[in-house]
Amino acid sequence: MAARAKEPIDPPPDSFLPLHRDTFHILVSLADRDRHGYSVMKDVLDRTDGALRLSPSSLYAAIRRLLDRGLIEELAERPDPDQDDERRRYYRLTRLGRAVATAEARRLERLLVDARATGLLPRRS
Amino acid sequence: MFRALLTLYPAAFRDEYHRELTLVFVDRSRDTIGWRDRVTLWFDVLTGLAKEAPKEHYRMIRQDLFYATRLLWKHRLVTATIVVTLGLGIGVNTAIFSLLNAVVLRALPVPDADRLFAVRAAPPVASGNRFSGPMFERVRASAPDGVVVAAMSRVAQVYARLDATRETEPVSLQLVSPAYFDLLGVPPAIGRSLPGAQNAQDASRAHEPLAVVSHAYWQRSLGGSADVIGRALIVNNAPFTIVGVAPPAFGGVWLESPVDIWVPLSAQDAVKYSQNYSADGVDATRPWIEQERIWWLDVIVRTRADDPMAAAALGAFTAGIQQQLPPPVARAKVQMTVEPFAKGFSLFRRHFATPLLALTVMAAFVLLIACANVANLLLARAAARQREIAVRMSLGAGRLRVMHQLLTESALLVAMAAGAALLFARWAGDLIVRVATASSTGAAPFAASIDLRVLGFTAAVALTSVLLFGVLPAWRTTRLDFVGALKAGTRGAIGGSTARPARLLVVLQVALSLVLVTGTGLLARSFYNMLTVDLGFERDRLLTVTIDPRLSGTGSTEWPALHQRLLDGVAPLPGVRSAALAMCGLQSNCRSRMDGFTIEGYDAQPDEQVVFLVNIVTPDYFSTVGMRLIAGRALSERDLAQTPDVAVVNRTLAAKYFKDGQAIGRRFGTNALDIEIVGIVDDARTLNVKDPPGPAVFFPLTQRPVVARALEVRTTGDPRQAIASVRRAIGVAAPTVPIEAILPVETRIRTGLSQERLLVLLTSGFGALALGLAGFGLFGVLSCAVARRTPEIGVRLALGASRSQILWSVVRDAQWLVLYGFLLGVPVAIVGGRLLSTLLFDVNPYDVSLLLAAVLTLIVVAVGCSAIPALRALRIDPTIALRQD
Repeated sequence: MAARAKEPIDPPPDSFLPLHRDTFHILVSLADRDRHGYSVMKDVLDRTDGALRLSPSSLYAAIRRLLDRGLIEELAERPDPDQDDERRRYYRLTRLGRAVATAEARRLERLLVDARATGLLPRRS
Repeated sequence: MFRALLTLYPAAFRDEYHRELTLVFVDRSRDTIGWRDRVTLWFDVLTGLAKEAPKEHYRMIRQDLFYATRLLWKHRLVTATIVVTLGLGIGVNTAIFSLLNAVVLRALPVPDADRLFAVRAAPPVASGNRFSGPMFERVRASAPDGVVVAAMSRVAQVYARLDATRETEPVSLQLVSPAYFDLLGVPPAIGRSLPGAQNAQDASRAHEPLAVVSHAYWQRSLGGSADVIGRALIVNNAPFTIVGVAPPAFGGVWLESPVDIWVPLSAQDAVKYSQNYSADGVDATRPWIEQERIWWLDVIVRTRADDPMAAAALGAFTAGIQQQLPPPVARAKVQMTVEPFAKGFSLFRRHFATPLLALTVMAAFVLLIACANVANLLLARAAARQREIAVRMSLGAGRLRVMHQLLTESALLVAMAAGAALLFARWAGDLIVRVATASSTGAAPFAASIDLRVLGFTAAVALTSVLLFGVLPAWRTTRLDFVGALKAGTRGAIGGSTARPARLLVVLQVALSLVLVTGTGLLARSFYNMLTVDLGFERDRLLTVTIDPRLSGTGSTEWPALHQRLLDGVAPLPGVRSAALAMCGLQSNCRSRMDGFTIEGYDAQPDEQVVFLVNIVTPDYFSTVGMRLIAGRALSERDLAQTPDVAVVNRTLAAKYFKDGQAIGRRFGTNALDIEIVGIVDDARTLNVKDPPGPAVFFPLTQRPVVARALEVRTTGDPRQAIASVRRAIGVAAPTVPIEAILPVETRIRTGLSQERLLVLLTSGFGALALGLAGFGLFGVLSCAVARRTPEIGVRLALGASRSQILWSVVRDAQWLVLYGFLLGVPVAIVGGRLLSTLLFDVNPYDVSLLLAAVLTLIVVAVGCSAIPALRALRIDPTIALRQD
């Protein structure tokens, strides 16, 4: 019987925290669907109401780091009809990437709770 | 323009994301509305680039460094070989440059050294660029506002002790004018400078017996505590009061003669300073500072900031001096110049600058040879990595990326080698200075230290090394056929593609080694000639004693009696054949000259200066030192003060000034022809080994009552055995006369050749290193060649070739490499010999025998280094070799 290759064990998501702001937003952007680079950039700009503008350099440097750490994976190129049908690289969250993004979100949520508890932010009614 | 900006990224990142980045930029451009959006877009692009591009470069370098470190550690032996080879190559260059830096490049440790100038003048203002006391005062009075002028004597050895102690020790002293320390901008570390420069009240103290001591002397011999201020210092039996301690690291303005004590110019008579001067009649009753015709002071100036080239100061001096010239020379035209003084004075710099240049070139050759060796090693190693590199490049790694990785390995090797080189240079630099200045004990007079300039030089040499030995292997390694490399396996890894550049490098090494070895041969023969040249006197079994009776407290009227007591005490000693006194000792560079002679029957040209080297000696001088009398008689005890003045001249003087050299009975003199020539001695090199004999005259000590500074003693056996008894005899005959030195003349001769010895030692070391490296390179290339040809050799053996034929084919390989190296190296060696000619003593720079000797040496090395590969070829088993195919 052929031996089955064992799947590599992911490192604990908490070991990646805290995430850099740009990194977290990119992971959030990929949480609901696969996207190419410009799509990520636009999504981050819209969600933050223009507060966070990723430059092309920052975006792809972050994408490279995320690929190296295994938090996202690259998919085959395919055209985007919304962007003149040019073939673009698409990216997707890996299982680890989703776990890390979730862990960061929970960390931020805890901070928010603490801020409300101390009166820094108004409590929710 | 955006695409152009992308070139700021590392090639690997650019290759990967170039298209995506461009697409994103185009998308954002499409979405911009108005100029504000466009400005924002470009702002984002530029700030993003400024932030991320350096990070990517850093990431790539860190990755390559990590990989390179792992790889170098894996091949530790090769790495160590490369680091040692390069370390030696860079190290010798750094050591020589540190010496060059200390001697030629480094400025005095004073502020604004570029505003310091030495004043030079022709007669009658100065003699030998030294000024008299009154003339210095005229220069000082002519100085424009803001220009500071100072004068100083040369550095002299004296004897000093603190009042509370009885231990006298030899120290170095310099007499200086009050403005000396202010001019140089070196405020004292403790106390004050010599008075006289601040104001009129201060000026009134200019002649007080005060002294400033150096920081080193203060630490070394005066206790190093602040209470030294105000204490008495006895210098040559004259008392001084210490008023200040100079700052650390300041030892005066003479590179190889650091000063321990500075005293005022007016103390010249008190400390009995009477050297390094020229004079036209000395009045022994008056201090030198007052006398117009004793030239003994070097004059230096600090110019104003708005006159960096001292032009205005020079103009003022010339005009001012012209108006003030004393009557005898009032109509003479004043000719003055200034020379930059930022680096101070140095005889060592003057004599050793050309040898240093030669050493620098030779060291560069050694580095080239070392780099060639390393390049060959890296080529061989890169050939073994072709499969790995083929895999990487076939998986998408760009050529530039792989080259970057390979160059990072080279850079890491060089960085390790440079570190080793700096350690080597630090040790070697100090050793070189000691040998060059003959300072076998105590501190070296100056330090060839590792400063920023030396570090910068080392970095530049290291970078050059990387370019020399790193780029070629990296280029060749990445220019390969992937399929071929992947199929080749191990055998193909020892590729023929690297053989040719490796062989070219070996040819270069052989050529450079030939040049170095030839240069070494020329300098070695020159040094041998210096050691064995006929000096004109008998150098063995001769002891020379340097004394200074002026320090004994005896007046000049007592000198004749003191001289006689010395001779009476030493001459009868067992083991002593004869003794004689002289004003100047043998081989002591005592350049006592007199000019202004008129000679019977000789008409001097209008601009001709009749100058003789002068020595004043006792009657037994010539027989004691072994100078050959070739005509007439020697000086005798009958030549007294009341008998007619006589002199003995040398062959050169007789030949130059008298027809057919017939000088016996002829007369000469300064004011009248009142000196008769009674004898002619053969020429002798009395100053040093290298200076050829010039016209020289010897006067009897009884007719010229000067102080005798040298006692020459002819011994019957080893002169070293007589040192103790001679010292005791002098101590009995003249207990207060200090003995400055007592040593065999042979030792003094060798000490005088210390710089030449250093040059020969260093070039020999370079030559040996070059031979070793070239031999190693040849060995490597031949070994690779044998390994590559193993299947071919197996086939030839199987087909019946004899072992001797195989051996000859390997040797022939080496022979061609060496021959091509000779063809390249011989013309360069000939040119190199011509360039070295100024350093050679009685050696023909085109000496064919030396060139042949160098060629033979290289042939022997080549034969030795090809022996092992040749023997390996002989031991090849054809059956095994054929299976390798």
